[in-house]
Amino acid sequence: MSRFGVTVTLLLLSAFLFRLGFTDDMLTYVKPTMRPWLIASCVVLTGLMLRRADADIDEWMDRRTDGGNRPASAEVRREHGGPRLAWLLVLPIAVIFIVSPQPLNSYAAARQGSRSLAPPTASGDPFPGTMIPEADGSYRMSLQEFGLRSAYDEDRELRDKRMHLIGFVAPAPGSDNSFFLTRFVIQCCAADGAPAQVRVVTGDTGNLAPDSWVTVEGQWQEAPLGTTEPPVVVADSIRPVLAPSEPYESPEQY
Amino acid sequence: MEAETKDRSEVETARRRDIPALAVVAALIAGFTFRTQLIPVFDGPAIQTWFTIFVSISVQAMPFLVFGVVISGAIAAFVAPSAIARVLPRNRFLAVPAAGLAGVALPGCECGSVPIAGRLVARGVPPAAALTFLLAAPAINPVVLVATVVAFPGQPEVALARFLASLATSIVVGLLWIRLGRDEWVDRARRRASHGGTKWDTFMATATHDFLHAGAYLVVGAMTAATLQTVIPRSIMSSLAGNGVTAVATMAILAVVLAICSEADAFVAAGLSEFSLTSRLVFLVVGPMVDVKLIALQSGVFGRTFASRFAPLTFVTAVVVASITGWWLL
Repeated sequence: MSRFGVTVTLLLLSAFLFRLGFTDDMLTYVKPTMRPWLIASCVVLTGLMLRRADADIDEWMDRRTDGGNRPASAEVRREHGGPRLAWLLVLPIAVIFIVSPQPLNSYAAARQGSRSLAPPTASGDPFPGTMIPEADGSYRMSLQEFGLRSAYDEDRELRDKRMHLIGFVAPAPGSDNSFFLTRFVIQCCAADGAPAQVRVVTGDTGNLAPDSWVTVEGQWQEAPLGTTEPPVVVADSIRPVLAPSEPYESPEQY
Repeated sequence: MEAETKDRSEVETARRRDIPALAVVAALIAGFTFRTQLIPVFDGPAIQTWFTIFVSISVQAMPFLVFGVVISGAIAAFVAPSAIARVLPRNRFLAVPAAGLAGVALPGCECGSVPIAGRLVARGVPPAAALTFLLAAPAINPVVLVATVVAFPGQPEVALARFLASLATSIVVGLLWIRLGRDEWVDRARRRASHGGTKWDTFMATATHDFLHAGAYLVVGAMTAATLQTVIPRSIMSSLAGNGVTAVATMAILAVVLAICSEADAFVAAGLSEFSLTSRLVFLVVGPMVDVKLIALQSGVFGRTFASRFAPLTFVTAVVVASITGWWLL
């Protein structure tokens, strides 16, 4: 990699981190808490890039004076190029700017299989207090919490309540009247994402495009405590919604 | 006359070497402009998932890489090896654990720790202590430990296990070297070419250089992890990950083949959630100590005879110590 190549690479990386740090694009890949770090590293790389650009300009002006009288400063600031392998750094930049990858979707969910929910480790009631309804009388919660309560809540709080859940549609193979309402849970970044899924029973799944985001209102279908299968909701209504800017969730601590 | 010709051909060479840079920029601009035509080419769901995973590891790790090279560049520029040499005890047995612990204070990218160890030997530090430092500094410094904590949220024991296993491995290798090693294997320790100019210049040049090297290997690591997650059939992954012995062996080999910088390897390991924590601990302990890039670097600084003995010794020790630590703590 030539000296100019180093400057170009640093410039591209700074632009890449700038775009990620200042838009919601980063949320497709990492958690919101990474934002200050992305911005800070953008600043650092920009600083390194400016220094190289400064040296490049010196060198360019040198070349124009026919290589004869080099001012003393240029010798000292003779920069090295970089390893050829470093061009690989351009790859994530190219992917984001050209392909714009989407958040993890139903294909990834099918490949992974539902995230298994470990039993609560805390002693005592891991679900303290009763659930609080919204103004319209429905109960909203994350798919994770719904799954945990379904499997491990001994008080069976979910019984006879109108649930309001949000996620994207993942087809349930071998079933024409249900689908998996899905949302990915990430520990560190999208690479370790595992899907939290709820099986939604409804009349007709034909209209529901895979990977479309919907809200589902319906009733929990009771299952025995400790069931490892995804919980089931019988849907009263399914409405499309805009995909949220933050597609993933962090693991629920319980 | 001769000098003039030489200068002109230098300029020619320099111009030619810029071609790849211009080609890359042109390709990116073209790709961006013709995005809508290109996207259908990458339409398959497997490729899309691959892209998402690949980019996410790259993005997650990059800030840690940046800060890692900033700190290690600062140390390379502003802390002289003689300062380190003065701190270590004279007794060569005691110097080994001391050198191991010194690795905590001195974040070192793998690329940097090998030449620094060479300079320590040149300054009279006992070779075993210098080698212990070489192994410990990239593995147990604060940036790496923070990265490990971030990569495994809610599981700080992973970072603790990494710290203990890496420190123990570096000390064991150092002590074994006292027993088994021969000093002549180390006398090809050479000085690293120092960058001219002010300390500030050295700092920025070292940081840039280390970042480019490490960044390239990070991208390779991210590509590999994405491939393992999307392309390799789940049945193969499950059978590799399911058995304790094959899981450890797979992760150990992966660590050697993928020369990922220690600030970033935790994020690659976090993505390989099929594998047990113990096998991933082996990955994290082996990686900063033995990998293809380090073997090449060690051959360059200390010589081939040295590297051909040091690398297998370190590898076996690391796998054993990490497996035991993982079994005990994780």
